Amino acid sequence: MNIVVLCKQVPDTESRIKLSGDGTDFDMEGIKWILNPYDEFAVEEALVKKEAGQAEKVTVVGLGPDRIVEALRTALAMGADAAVHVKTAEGYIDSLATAKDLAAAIKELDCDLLLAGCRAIDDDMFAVPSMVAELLGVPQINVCGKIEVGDGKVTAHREIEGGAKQVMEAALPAVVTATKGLNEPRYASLPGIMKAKRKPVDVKEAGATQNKAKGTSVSLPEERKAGKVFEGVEHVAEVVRLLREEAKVI
Amino acid sequence: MEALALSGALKVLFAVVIAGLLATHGAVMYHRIRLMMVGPKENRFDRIKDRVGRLLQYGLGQGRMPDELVPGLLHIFIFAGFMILSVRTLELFVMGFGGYEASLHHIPVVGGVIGPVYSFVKDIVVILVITGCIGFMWRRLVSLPKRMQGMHHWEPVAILCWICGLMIFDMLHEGGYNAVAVANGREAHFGLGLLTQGMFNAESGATMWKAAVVGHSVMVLLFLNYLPFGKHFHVITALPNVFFSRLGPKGRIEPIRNIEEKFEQLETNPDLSIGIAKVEDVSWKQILDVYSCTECGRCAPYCPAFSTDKPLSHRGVNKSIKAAAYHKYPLEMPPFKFGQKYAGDEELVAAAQAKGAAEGKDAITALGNGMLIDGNDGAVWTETIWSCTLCGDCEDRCPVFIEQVPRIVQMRQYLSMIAGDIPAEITNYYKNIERNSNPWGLGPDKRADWIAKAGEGVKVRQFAELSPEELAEVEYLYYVGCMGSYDDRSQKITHSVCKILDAAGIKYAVLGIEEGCNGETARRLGNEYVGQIMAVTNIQTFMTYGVKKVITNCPHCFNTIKNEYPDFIEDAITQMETPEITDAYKGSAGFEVIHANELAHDLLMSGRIKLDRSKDIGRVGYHDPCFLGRYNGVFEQQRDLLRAVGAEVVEPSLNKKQSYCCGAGGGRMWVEEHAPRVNHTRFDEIMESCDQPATVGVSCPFCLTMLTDSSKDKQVDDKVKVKDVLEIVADHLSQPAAKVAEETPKEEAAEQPSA
Repeated sequence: MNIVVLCKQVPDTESRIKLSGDGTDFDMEGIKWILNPYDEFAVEEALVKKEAGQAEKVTVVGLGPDRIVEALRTALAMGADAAVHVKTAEGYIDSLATAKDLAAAIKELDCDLLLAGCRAIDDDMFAVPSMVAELLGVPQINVCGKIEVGDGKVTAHREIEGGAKQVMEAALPAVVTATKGLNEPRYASLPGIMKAKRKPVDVKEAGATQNKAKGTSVSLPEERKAGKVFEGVEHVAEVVRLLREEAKVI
Repeated sequence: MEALALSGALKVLFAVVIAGLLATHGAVMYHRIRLMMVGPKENRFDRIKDRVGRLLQYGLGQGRMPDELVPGLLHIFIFAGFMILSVRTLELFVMGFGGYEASLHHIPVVGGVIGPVYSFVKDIVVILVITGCIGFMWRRLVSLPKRMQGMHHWEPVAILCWICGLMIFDMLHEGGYNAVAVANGREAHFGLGLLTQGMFNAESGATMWKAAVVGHSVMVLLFLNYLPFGKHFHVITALPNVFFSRLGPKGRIEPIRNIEEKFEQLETNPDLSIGIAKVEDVSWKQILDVYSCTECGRCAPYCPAFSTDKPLSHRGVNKSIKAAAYHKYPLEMPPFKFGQKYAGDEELVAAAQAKGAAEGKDAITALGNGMLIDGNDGAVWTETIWSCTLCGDCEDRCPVFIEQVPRIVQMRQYLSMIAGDIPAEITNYYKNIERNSNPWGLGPDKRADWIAKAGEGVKVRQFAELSPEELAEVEYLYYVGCMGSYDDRSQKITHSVCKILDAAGIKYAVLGIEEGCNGETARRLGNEYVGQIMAVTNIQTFMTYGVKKVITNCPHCFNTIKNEYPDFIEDAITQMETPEITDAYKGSAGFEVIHANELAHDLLMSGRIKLDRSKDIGRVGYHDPCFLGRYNGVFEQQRDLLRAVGAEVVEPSLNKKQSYCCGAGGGRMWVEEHAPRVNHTRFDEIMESCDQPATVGVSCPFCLTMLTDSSKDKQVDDKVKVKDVLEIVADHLSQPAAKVAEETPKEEAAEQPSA
């Protein structure tokens, strides 16, 4: 069995977000880039399956400008065998365009199970893996906390609203997306990092797919106001009034 | 006179027995020495003068023994016995062949003096040795202090009896001689023989004399033969171990050189290894360490891990490494060359495994595959390795200078960088510092946010904002560190340092968002690779601004920049390729690093700051941080500062060099801990031995966090305040005096050469 994992490069959660000059997009200057943490769960799961002898090869696929190779190398350092870089220019690409290019790249690979993070922590669209599944014409199971494979099928456990548990099954090939709690992604060992430098990264130019959706404006949340401190019991009435009238919490 | 000499036949037999026993001992020692050569080389033949000094003070001088007075004295008695009675032992060997005529009493010219004097001194020592043995047996069998509990006692007790036997033999020998001498109208030896001579007549005295010569000698040689098999091997190896012990700054972790290159070669060169994973990775000095462990347990009672029921005992680690080494390389192992490895020798591995199984040593069957570390199957458990806070207390207490800290770090290097066998919290820590250069993974662009919070009147200058003229005026870099930059509570220490520096008119600047984690914790968690990157990056930033002097208030930053950055300056220079910046640092021995406590103390002494004594702050129990105190010897400055503000400094029973770790060292700050917790244990100890002080003084943001947490967990945080000494100093800066200080020293400062 061969596993393919979708890997997206995203800004570090701690990066300070700035807006671009025209206010239609974010300014990516000085951003610290990381491998999407949800995709890390997917990579780890693929590696666990390989180590358990259930998979022969783990290939990671990512789409974006040259900088995303760093994210692919992170996955290679963790232990993935090969990478495919679908190369695009810098700039916004909508979910469908992304999915089309990724699906085209995956068709060329021999893929039995496609894993991905259920969401990317930057734009939170939850869209690409599902679109890829549709474009490939294979079943999909999303947001899974436990994934088992065997006998030509995949069994995935999901936790849904209110803690209810659901088990789903699909014939392979299939797309399964990972969520928190699936596993603890490993820390790439140094020999792993060194080996990753020599592992193949296959570069493919993205197709000429056009965006069908585009951003018009972005804005940042209002800065949180400083808290007020009251000392002494004489302020209790005032605090209650403010909580009711200003903060509207009681 | 009865002949005080062995017959010819007996002499031959005596010679054969001696030769035989020496040969078997030699063969065993040959194996033990070869075992020391399996691992990597390490040069411990430098600085011979310092080594001789250490040998005299701590080896022959037994310098650390009296740290625990009674057992220390008992040991000194027995040690003195071994030293002084070795002459007697030789004399007995010689008399075995030459008869009484060959004794010290018959040395030409001086024998008449040396003989009786030595006889007398020797007999005093015999009494001391017997006292020592009885005292030790009492401790083993009756009083059983904590560190002796849970140990097997048959071996030490048997050895103590054996030593007493030797002493009794010597007394009987003297008695036998005296009986013969008196019967022949000669003078008896003055000494213990007087007590035993009545047991013999001339004939039985002579027989006793002969029996003791042979018996004593054979007992000594049997003893010698036994030594390499048990914990009493230290009788042979302890003095060399002290001689070869690590010199130089205690707080320095030896760097792995050319680390990237080594990783590149790992795949193709199976002889190469990083850290310690198997017996072949243990250096000869580290093998000598485990030979030298007497399992006395001085390392145990104040070990923060051991004393709070964590699965770490350094004495146990010694035993485990020794067991693994003996198991992998049994006595009958084939000859090998220096550095030769047996990892791939299937036959040997199979033989070792079969031997282990036959002996029922299930616990160490994993050692057959050569792994010292292999989860819970290896000789040393991974949990054991992660439990250490690297506080260094065990090393300071070990009478024979066993080096526990470096080997724990080396085992972590294997776990962190090769095996990837890392607790989840530490994985997280690594990701955070790699990405954002701080333990929490907070945004690096928020690193300077503490400046805005410094309050009115505190003007903090950042290097990046300075004009060349201003830069030329700056004397110090104040390296704030991660805790001081990000942690809300620790920022208050940072602000205090700024206030003190301002009050004295010190010209300093900070790096702000250009500062990065110093790499200390990464290196101590075994991630040498990332640690070195952090160190090199910081050094390069330092060099960019021409920094020569550094102030820190975090003892971890202090220790690292002071003792470890010199190791990485060359790497920083080579990687920078900007000679106009780096030329000034060529061959540099490092930065001049001063802890803020030392600086504040200097400023107080020179009158550049004045402290107000009028506010009553009462009693302050002071807790010594390991990396400021034990590792770097800064003890008095902070105490003086506290006294200068009118505080009464109260000492916990574990203080100064023997301070008890807060539990945060060696990266433990970032790992979940289970009860009983180290910080609670320490907090209770301070509260009790200092009789509930109103304030606990510390000098480290980590200790501050750990002890504050304890006071909250114990719900006494309304009664006991945990404060950094620098906060207390800043609170007591005398404003008018500070103004004066600001005006006068400015001129002084201007005269000083700028950095």
